Amino acid sequence: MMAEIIKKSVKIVEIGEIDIDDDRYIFTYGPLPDELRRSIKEIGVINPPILQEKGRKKSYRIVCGSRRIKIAGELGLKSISACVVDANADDFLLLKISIHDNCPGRSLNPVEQALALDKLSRYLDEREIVHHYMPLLGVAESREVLKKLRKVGDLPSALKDGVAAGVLDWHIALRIASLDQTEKDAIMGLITRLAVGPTKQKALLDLVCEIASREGKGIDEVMQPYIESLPATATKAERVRKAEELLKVLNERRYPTLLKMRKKFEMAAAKLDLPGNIVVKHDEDFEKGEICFSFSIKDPSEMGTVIEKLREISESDDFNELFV
Amino acid sequence: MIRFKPVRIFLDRSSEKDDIALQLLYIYDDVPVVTVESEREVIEEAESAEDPIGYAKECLYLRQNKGAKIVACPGTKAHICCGYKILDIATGCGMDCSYCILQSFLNNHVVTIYTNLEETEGELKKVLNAGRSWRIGTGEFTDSLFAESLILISRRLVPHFKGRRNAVLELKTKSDNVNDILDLGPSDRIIIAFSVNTEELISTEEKGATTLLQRINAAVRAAEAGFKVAFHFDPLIEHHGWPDNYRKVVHEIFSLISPRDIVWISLGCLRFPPKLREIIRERHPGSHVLNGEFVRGADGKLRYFRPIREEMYTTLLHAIRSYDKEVLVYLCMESELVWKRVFGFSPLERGGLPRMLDEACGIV
Repeated sequence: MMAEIIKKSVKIVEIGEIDIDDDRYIFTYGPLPDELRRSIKEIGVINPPILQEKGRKKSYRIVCGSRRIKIAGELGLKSISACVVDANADDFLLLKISIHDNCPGRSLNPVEQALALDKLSRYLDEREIVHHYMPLLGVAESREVLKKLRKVGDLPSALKDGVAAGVLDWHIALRIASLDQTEKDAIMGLITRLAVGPTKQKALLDLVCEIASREGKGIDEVMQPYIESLPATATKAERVRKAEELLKVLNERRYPTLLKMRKKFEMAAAKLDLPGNIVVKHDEDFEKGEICFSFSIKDPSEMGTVIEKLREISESDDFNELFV
Repeated sequence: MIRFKPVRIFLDRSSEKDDIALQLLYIYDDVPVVTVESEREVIEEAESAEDPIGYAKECLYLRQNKGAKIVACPGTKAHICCGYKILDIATGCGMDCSYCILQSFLNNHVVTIYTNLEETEGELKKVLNAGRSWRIGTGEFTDSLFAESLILISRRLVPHFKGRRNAVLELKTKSDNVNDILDLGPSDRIIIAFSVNTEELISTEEKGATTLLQRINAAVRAAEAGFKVAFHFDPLIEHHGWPDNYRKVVHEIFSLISPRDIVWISLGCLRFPPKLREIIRERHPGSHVLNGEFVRGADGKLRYFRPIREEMYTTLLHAIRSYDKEVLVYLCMESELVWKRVFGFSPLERGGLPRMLDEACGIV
């Protein structure tokens, strides 16, 4: 096995001797998991991390196990047991060990995927990364995705944190990154106050950007009244409801002619004073110019009344107003 | 004048001895050439670029067209099509219009010129001699004239149509590259058609294309040489001040071109498949074309909400009719309902749109 050709020894290493800022093989990003913290607190570090000697005496870089080491340090452990590999070990092999150590055990977040892809690109061509490593990292096998996802590693920390925490979709984060700071803050403010998944995040961003462009305003200017109306703290259910309401309001602002037409139709339909068992609707988005009457009856004798009512409607002056 | 100069040429092995390929390799003797065995290699190289479509537009792929050389316009479901036939000579073009549907339609975005023109001409002769009427164009998957001064393909096609009673060739362009065919006139069998838009939209949304005035001046030269001309207001894009801006375009056309030289004018509001939306956002971040009120049409494409389209068409129709009552104005890929609301009739009542167009250009 490849990993076994590396000369390594198990040692007790002082945590203070580990350079946690050296990220040559590390692509872990995001908050440290509470489960791991609880486990280490209760029983200590079970699986020894792999470290590489840095050439200088008593200094190590992490190959894998960065989260275990950080938690151990936070919990006040002074030393841990670790597999130590030699300073001359093959860089690419150590990176592969790091990837294989992480990937089967947990899902990487998009920032971690981006950082891993970036590190792999130092050793491999695009084709090998796409076909061999992207599936391993849990990413769709696509050159286009590779190009875009790699950019996630270069996002500002606030956006990366949002992506790593699962609050922000990475595609949206890339779009937000191109906005100016006040616009970024406004969008982030909105998304973090609402409970919205990737599809609604995209819908929200699309609507806000298009409204800003249509109205010749800044994105922050468009969003300000909405952000102010959102409570800073709310339950998830409230945030979901607020998101739905906001999307509706933005849609109406984004499509004023369509809204006007719908209202006009509703007014025309109301004038007909239809009984509860007859409903009139227009076709979707008025594209076909069709209207549809539907009715329900509970007894055969009601049929004649419905037909009479429909005839009466078709002869009324208000009928033509339905054809907006 | 638009001068297309690629940064890289992909030469398919099967095209190595074709005249057009040799001619272009001679003209572009300072451009790196890569010989390829398959289109896959071309696509892969383009895809590795930061902006694959942008890079592809700077490259040239010379290959043979192994498929059908004359194909029906793809049309679109539940909308009325003009029924013209496409002579497939090339795909893609060096211009980079933000709204261009080819960005989502083509798999290979590299500007591709088919080098087996003799075979295409052979097929063309066969169909033209087989009777029936043919409105044929080359401007569906490419701009008919964007590289004409180099490849001279249109120049080779024009003689096939001159003097025929049953066919016309429509060369559709956003360039003003007409000079290389002017000496082949006069012929009312050749229609040089210009896609037009407002000056502001041309400068912001039609990167690499000529100005409106350059196009109209090219139309003047084409008409003076004895060709028919046509104008396609397509895509009509809703923007602040659009009624006056489009009226101004109509005015500029009719102030320089006699209506009797214009064979038809088409109107088509912006429409696109939903996936183009993301491409436009990504590739053309400053574009305003997505600002309209779009709804999904029966064919799945996004179109302006019907009353907006009707208002745009009616405005343009009135503007055109204020200069000329006769010229055929038609809607490109619109529903029968919109036709009726704009014109007061459906093409089906007049034998269908293809027939209306055949009559307008006098083919039998």
